[in-house]
Amino acid sequence: MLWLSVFLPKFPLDVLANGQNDTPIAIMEGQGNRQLIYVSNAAAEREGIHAGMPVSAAQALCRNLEILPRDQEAEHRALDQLALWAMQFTPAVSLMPGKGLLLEVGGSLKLFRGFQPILQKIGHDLQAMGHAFQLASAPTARGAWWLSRHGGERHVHRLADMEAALAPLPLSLIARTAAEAEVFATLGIRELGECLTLPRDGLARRFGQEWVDRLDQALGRLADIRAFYTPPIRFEQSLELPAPVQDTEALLFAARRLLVTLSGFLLGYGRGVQHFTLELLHDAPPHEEITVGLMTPSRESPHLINLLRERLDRVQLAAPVMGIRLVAENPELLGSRNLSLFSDPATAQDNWAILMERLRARLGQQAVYGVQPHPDHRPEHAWANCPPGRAEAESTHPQGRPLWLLPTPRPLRLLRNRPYLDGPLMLKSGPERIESGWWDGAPVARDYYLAETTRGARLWIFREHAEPGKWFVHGIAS
Amino acid sequence: MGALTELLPSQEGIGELGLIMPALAHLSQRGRWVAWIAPPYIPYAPALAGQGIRLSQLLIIQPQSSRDSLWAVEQTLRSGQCGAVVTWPREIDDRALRRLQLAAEAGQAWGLLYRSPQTATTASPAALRISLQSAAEGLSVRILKRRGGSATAPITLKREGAATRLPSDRSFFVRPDHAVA
Repeated sequence: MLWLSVFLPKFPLDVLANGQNDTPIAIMEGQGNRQLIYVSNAAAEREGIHAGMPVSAAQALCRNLEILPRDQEAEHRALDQLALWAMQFTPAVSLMPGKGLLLEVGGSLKLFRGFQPILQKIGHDLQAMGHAFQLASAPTARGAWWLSRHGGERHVHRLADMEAALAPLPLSLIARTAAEAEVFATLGIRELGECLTLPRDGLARRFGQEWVDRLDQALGRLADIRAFYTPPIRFEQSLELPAPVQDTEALLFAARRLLVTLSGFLLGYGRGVQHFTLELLHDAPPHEEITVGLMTPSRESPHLINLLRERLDRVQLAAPVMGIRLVAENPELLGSRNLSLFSDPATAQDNWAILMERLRARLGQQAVYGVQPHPDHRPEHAWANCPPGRAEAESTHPQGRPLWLLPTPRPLRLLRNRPYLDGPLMLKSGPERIESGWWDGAPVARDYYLAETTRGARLWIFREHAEPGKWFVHGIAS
Repeated sequence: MGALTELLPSQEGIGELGLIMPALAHLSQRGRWVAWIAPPYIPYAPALAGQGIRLSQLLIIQPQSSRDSLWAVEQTLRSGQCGAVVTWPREIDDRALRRLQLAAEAGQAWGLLYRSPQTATTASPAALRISLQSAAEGLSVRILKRRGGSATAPITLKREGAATRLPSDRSFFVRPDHAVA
């Protein structure tokens, strides 16, 4: 077993204020006059604000300190997102609410060819997502967690080394309450190493069996069963934006986070999406939706980000966006490919799919299509749109059809009872009688002719049986 | 391959599209994609199939604006995924034409542009420029510009049925490599 611990020291801040470090911001907890600072950003720390300080004191120290109440609901949602992202490394992801994640990566080492690639990718992604993080690893979950809380990126891979690694850890870090830490302090015990030298039953009596159990778990002497995160099959994650946004570039930046998460989630399932929807949440409904469709399922986040960028470039935001929600349902099974950290050179099929997706992303799904014949005598129904490449061939085709069809037949003027367009039209061939469609309410009874104008243009024209005086152009024989 | 051809018909319906059908049919039958971008009317599937086009290799793109059309033409040419890209640009300036020329070279694709006959007098980077006029027997084709040669006298192609046929004493067809025999 190898546990990789991801401790996010500023997680509540990341969730509400996403990496803002120019102005001092702090998160507070508690009620009334018991409001305490829970976590503060680098700018606030420079002003002397630290966790545990009363809010009033903090405000006195730093006039322009922005104080936000802790939002545990938002943290819960954000941690879910993170868990989904983490699933790409291992199915065994354990949540540490409000603080981080534990990943059991022992089973993934072979797939990723070692511990380093996993560590690198995790660090890279966390940075991309804008989280402050501290990593550590150990053969025990609790041990790894404590090491990551301490900082300094310790990686202990042998159980025998655990005791030495944990010894310098301050008890204030591991104590569950401030009171507990106080008691240890009064006893003159500051580091975990000292704690380990104390008689166990004495410790158990004083601080509870649980305390001893925790130590044993960290050292690998007692089993530490963790509940693993089970992901939903439907992907739906929202992100509240720190300030209303009207700039699509900023939206893409925020959406990037969600797409990286989606990518990890899909990898955990061995699936890819064929379409996803980004909902733009305004402060009042109706909310705008941007749906991006793909020709072939994919889970590559750079590709998904590019497609979204193409779509967002075409969007004019009706109103400021307060939040975004990424929804992806029914992911398709993807055949597994040899994974590498960097994308493989694409095959010809991939190139075609990429071109199609770029076209559709910018121009819209409906702007890119193929055409196929349809078995119907009525010319306007004898063809249909179809997905490109899927046209079904027909064995026989009526002769003498024009290459161009007009969307609706255009009426022709008459001069001396003959149809007229730039001069009298000469009928070259016909009539071809087409009578059909009585069964679905669009009956057609027409006589079609090939006609030529005085300037040499060839047209496909018809007149209705019912009104022999009315002539129409239906096509151009180019 | 890798260049632009401009076709300047005096008006629609004189056989200007039928002229390129054999070449497009040939490309599509050999499994290459053919893209039509911003066609002015509905490409009529039964007629296209009748002319030998393999419809499963035909891609129709209908953008909303001229700018999107030019973008789509450039993308499809450059991608190297299409054997031929046919378009009917409403407005296109010299700079855009040059970009398309470069895109065609990059993707080794054949770009065909249908433009109005008035543009015959303005210069263009296209490798081959052909003016088309209606003639008594069929279609009169005049090469305004070609690689390694000057303008020639008009050649008349007889028409047979709905298609344009070659005069029996000459073999003339527009090939993607712009050789005119």
